[in-house]
Amino acid sequence: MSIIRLKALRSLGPSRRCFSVGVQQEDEYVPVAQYPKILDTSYEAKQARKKEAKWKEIKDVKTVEEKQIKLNMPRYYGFKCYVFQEDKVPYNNLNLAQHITKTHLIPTRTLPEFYNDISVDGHLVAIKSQIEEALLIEYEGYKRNNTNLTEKQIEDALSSSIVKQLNRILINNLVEDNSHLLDTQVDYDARIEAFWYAGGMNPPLNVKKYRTGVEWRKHTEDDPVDRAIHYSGSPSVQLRNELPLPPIIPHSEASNPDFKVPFFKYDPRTVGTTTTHKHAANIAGYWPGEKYQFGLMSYHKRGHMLERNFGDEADAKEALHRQGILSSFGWLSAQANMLGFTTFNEITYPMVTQTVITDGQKFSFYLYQMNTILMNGDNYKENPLKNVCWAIPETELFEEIKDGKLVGFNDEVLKSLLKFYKNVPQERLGVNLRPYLAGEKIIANYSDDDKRNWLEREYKYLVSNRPRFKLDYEVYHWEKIYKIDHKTRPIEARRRPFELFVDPWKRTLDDRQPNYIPRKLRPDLPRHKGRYAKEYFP
Amino acid sequence: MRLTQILLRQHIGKHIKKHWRVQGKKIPRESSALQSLKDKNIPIYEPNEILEETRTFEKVDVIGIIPKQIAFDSTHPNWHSRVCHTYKDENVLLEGLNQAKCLTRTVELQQGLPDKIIIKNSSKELDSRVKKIIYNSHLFDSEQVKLPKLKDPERPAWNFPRLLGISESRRNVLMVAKLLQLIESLSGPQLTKQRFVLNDLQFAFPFEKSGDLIQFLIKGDTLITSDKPLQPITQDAGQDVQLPNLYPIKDTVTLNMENIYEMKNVYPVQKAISKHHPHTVFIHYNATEVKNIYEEEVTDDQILGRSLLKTFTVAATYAKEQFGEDVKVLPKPVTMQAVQSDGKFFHFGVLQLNTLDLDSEDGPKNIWYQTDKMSLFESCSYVSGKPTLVGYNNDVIKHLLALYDNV
Repeated sequence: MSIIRLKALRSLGPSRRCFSVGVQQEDEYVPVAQYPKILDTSYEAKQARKKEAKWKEIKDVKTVEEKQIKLNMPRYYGFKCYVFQEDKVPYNNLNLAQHITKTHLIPTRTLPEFYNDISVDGHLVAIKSQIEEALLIEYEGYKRNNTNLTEKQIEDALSSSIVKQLNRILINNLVEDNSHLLDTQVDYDARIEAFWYAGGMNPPLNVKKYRTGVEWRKHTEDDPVDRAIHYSGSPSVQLRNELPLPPIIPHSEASNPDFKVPFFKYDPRTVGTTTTHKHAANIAGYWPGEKYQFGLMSYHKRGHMLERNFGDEADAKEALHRQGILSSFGWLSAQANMLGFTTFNEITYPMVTQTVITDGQKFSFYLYQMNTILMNGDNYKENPLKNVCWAIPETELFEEIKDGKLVGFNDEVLKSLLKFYKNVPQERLGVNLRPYLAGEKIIANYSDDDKRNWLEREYKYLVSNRPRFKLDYEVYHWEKIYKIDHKTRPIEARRRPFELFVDPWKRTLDDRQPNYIPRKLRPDLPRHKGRYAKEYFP
Repeated sequence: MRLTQILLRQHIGKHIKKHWRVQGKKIPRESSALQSLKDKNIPIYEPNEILEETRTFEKVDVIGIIPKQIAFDSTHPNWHSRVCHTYKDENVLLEGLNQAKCLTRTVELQQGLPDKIIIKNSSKELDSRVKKIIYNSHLFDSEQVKLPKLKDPERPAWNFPRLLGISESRRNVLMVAKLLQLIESLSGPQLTKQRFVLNDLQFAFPFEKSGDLIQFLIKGDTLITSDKPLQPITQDAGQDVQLPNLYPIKDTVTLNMENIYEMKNVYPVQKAISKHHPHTVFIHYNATEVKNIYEEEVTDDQILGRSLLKTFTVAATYAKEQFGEDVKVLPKPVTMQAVQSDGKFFHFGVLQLNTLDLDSEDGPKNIWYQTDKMSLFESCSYVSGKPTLVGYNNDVIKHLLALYDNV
């Protein structure tokens, strides 16, 4: 008997054996036939399943840094990002900012009810006099070195030194009764970056073009396309603690249908956003390993308002709201990434921050509760959770300085500030703050020296967003003219990517030669072995 | 043989050139026309006087045009023919502390800080907070900027990969600001109410010494001011102690020699403010910026000299502001504390300024107290991927607390 036939007989084996024993299991039969779920085999469904599997993979990665590298795996030269900077606000940008952060904006005159329980009257008088004095000193008390600075830079410098004074006075006076302030880290001019995907917007022209080029994808021509968003900002002062602030509204309230987010369907470039290639970097002002991971509040500059000359008051207000929303969400989502969540893995508890935008005299307060970071794909309509932002519009701390005295000091502004400082971060009972981190949690805890070193180097290299040693790909002008538009060189060997029909931008992060180990440094192995260093891509 | 070589044997190119040069400058031949017109009293005009349009152009401000930069030469508005010796943030003195003492007429009466400053023990909790601050400013801050180029003296042409990380200046700013915040949080509002903290102030102290014009132009990176001046430390004006002898060098050696300067005493904090008395000045030391004018490395002694010179500048500008421009021996001594740091080492000093008469042979001298340079830690870096702090020294925080509490 040949082997093949034997195999065929074996494959019939079990069922035969079952019959031959002649025992019938009763639970083998059910009254109504139950069929396995039928898999949708359409292209879209298959793509969706692939994506789900990838997101699951990211979720299962054990450490923060590896998750961030994993996020970056698809692109060697970085993703095409829509760049949002804190201090560059184009015209008519609020709706877009709300859409990409899924934020419901609540303009209000007073702080939400949550703050009613915090009493500040005991401290007000003592602090007020000190703050008045500090403001006078900052405005008129000493000589600043403002040579060669623009108007914006002068205002930003003034604002950040006033903010430092306010922060100093408030902490010094409140720290005795509020021990959480002693355990708070204060950052100055921290670097904040955030990366996430936002969906729901019309496809760009090139995407439409390739979709219409393929017969079986023509019907998807107008389907929305996700945009990679990159936010960067730098608060003059920010406060961090080991524990998170309590939520302002319960998490369940976040899916309230009354919360409305404006739908922005156009390409963000239509309202002045630019694109560039960047690696996904989520930086909340500190590296993984830092214990103080939850933001309490941040102060931001508003010198960019001086450079707006659109002559539209409504737009000026919107510009501040945009800054408030983006800086709050940007910081919180970077924090969420440091806790092991990513733009594909939803946060499991709400996070809160308090944002102040000021030039020293005008104060705008923002309270932000982040309930979701899932914005990609169809989440703009299917994810019921929404982020909420309370915005207290611009108020003046004082009216003017006359004859060396402050006129019209506004206690309400100071009270709001005091309430922000006295809002005590608390432990979340029964909540695992880092549910998607396991085992080592950060790479510094790995016992393998080589792996730790490799991951540390790779992670810092990626998020620094420094240019690659080899410059990225471009089609030269002469190629466009003589090779693409007019095929004048048909006999030449086809070596360039556009002649080989490959997209060089789709090169993946691990598509590269590992480091070469010189023979001298190799262990005693055969000549062809151990040439390349080991790599630890997650 | 080719024909051209024969034809070009006599090279007439230079003759033609010469001819053009001569003919290019036409010398008008004298004619008698001028003389005869003069004789007949007929007025004579140069052709340009009649043909050329005389019109004064008004200067128009065109938006977007960058004005021409002022040249740093003798046309500069602040140019003086007399040389001024200046000392700036990035300079150090050749002879370090000794030269600084000669320049500022300062002597040391004893080793260490004055006995008045009491150094208390630090608690474990405080130490752990300081350690967190060190980690935070040296490792966990997320700034990534290009760091100075690495060089190996053994093979100077070797290019190391460029490192990105926290810049030296940011590390200094973070360390000082965070330590100060911690100290103030622990000191209680009664004390902190009397103090004020200012950043990035510019001081300028001009004076004349042995016929040389000298000016100290320095930056006080952080200045703590207080509502009352610090009490003087000692009655001894150091008359029995000799200034160091620098012979054969002059005490202005390695100062910058400049012709463009403005002699003006600047103490940036205004007198009208109640908290304008200087208490402690924090001086940042940035190893890539502070340099010798020759290629030697900066020595420890030069760093100590830097502390003294900068402290003196702050105290002296304040004294002039307080007691008038022409004050010589101060009616009341000015006391001032200083901390110099690069985020890792700390140097503490206290200066009692008795006189601004720096030229005289005898009379009171200024008094300087100082500690040795002390390290806050041995190293703080990622050691094979692990954040590691080695050799924390709690003497630094004890000294800082003692200086802050001093009134």
